[in-house]
Amino acid sequence: MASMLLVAGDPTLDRHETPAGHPERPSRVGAALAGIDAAGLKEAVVRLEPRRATLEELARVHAPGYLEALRAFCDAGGGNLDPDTVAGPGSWDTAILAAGAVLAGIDALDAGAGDAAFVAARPPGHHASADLAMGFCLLNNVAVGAAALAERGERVVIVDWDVHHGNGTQEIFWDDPRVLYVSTHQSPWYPGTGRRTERGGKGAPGLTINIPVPAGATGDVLCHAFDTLILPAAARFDPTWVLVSAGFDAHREDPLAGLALTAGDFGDLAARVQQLAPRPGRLALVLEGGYDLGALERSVGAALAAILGHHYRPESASAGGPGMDAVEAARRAHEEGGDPGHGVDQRMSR
Amino acid sequence: MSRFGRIVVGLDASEGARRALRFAVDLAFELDAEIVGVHGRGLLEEAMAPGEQADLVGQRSLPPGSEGDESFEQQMEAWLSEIVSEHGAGEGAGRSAGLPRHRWRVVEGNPVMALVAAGRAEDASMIVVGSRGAGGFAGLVLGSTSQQLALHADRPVVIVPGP
Repeated sequence: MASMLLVAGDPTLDRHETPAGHPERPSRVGAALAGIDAAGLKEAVVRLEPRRATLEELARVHAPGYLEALRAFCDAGGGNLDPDTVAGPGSWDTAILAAGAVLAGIDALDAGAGDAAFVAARPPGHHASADLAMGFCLLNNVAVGAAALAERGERVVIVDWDVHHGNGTQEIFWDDPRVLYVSTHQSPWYPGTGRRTERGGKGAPGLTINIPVPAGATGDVLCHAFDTLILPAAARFDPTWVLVSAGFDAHREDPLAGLALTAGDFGDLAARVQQLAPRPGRLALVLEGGYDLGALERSVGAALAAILGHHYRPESASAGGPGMDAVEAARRAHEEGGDPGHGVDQRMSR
Repeated sequence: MSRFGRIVVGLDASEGARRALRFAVDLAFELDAEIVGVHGRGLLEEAMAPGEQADLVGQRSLPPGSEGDESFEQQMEAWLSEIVSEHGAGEGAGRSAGLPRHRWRVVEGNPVMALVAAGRAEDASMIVVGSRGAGGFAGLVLGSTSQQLALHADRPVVIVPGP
């Protein structure tokens, strides 16, 4: 069991402001961090120094022209990027701090400073593609981390349990055999991608695994997905690192979606991703969504407690919702394979 | 069907979208093409009450008071009728039949993604959008759906400017 948790991200430096009432708001980070205290994990935590991702580090996954444009957009005062996504004068700096926090966590783990890392930073990232901000996301934080690791020769699994499909992450690593991208998500739902037939490009067939589940799905459904599909597929991939796009908006109280997970379920999912890591010090959880502050606090606490081997289960696990058949269908789609790149019409690639 | 087949139009409740639809109606009559009106339903719009999300980001997607796909279609049917009646009956073959051939689609995803995917799925001859006029420097460097679309689309994009 891991015993030392590295925590990256500094809410006092957060200057990414969203309009009053917007669900993706600065107080989310405070709620996530409060979960650590609520779970009684304070003694196990080492806080990391904040750092900013460099343009070179970001350019591993983002188009340089997009980065320049985004920075200029923020410097000029910002505005709406799409009907969901806003950026302001402080958003660029906050975004590069969030991406930098992932890199700080990875580097500290690599140096042997801890057993797992939690990146509590915003804005979230998994909808951001190489050159498009959307779905509250400006820079793809988890992708920046995975690309840094891949460049060092590591084999990276990204598990994305956010309730929304991580279309940006999928697109970035669509053809990359160094990264296995696995997503569980509500479907049909925003952003409309993530069908089980989307399996990766010709350079990485089968290295994208999508497990769409219907509204109302409970924790037992996702645990079944892990036990029957994600864990075996990841074992075959033989990863050297595991990154988690850890959104907590699949919680039953989240206002932006309709899955029915509890904090206890996130503990069960976290215990499973820990099994994927080849050894301690190779697991980082990166905050994505999660918009009910209480649910976010409890869920983060339960997830991190499970990783640290502490008992903290503020809500019991959920069961009985729909979606077992969807998991089975996803498992068959993965095992039977098929034409690599099927479903590519949902992607933005030119 | 004419060689121009289908014209995908990006639609929301904005004046820019209405201008785009007006332009597409003219084209559809002249080219004997079908209009496929597409609305990309965003993350907030899927989850929140209509009108509620409009206040958050200052952009309106569906009309206030609407309740999903049905109201979207009703709004667009009303616009289409108004546009055609504003223009009056023309000489083109399509005009004698009243409204141009058309369909409405609401899909998950931000507007750029939705239009790129719809253009591909419909094998559209072009995608028509209104310029929203994000304005100023911000709009020039990154801002608008139309600019993002021009960057990402794999087929011709027509951007209809404001008055």
